[in-house]
Amino acid sequence: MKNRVSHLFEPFKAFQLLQQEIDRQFSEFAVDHSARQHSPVEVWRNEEGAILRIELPGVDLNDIDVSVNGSHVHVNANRNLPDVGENENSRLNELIAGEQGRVVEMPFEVDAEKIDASYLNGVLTISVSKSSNELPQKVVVKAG
Amino acid sequence: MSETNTLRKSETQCCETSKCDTPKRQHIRRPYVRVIENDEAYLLSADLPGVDENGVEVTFEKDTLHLRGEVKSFEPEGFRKVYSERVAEVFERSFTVPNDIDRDAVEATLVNGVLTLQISKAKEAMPKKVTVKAG
Repeated sequence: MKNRVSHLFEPFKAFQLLQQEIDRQFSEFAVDHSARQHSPVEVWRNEEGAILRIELPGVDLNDIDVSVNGSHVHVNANRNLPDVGENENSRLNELIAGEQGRVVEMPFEVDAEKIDASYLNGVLTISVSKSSNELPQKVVVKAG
Repeated sequence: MSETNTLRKSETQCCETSKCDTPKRQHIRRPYVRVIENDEAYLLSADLPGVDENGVEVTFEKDTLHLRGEVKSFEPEGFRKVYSERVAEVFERSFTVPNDIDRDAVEATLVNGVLTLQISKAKEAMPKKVTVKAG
């Protein structure tokens, strides 16, 4: 009741609260975008190499680049989102357009000739193998 | 269209031990979304990376729209998971929908891990042009 009375004398305050309520309805759940600059990664290992899985939803296959430099696997992608049209209203927007990517350092040198990458359901899966320099090499022991 | 305040952590029964009475908490991820409104419809896009068409559920319950997606299992033979930034394998989010929608006119597609719902407005809610006659 106290608030209601005070609104009578503060019409703009009431409007502010109304605006805040509208903002809350549509904006409360917007995320901190700075925390989303990277795409979540998952790594699986075995003796010969590894499988990397990187979430890249909404990206076109042609806008994904994968490269290797020593033990580093570089992934870059570009997400395009349609602009909001003149006759459209954006009610809630947590999706981010533009470049995103990750660099994953493996504990071994990656064989650049043995990389396999596929993109399915918005997840990029990259299989990498150890460079032949990393594989155990058998040394022939000669008789003394 | 606004979000229903349900940051739920669904609970499933513990299955590791038959006598365990404590429900096991299943972690839930809240998908990022975008909602655009035009005269004819609401267009909702939700990021559901790793979810295929068999793992997604879209349901209306009274004035609430529920989205649920379960990430398709990935366990390559001979490999062990050594690192993960994924906090959960299930996505869930709910929205309070406006009264002006036509629930029978909802189209859903799932492309590259993005669920897109086109929720048409009821015909009564669409803007109508009134012809002004000369007096």
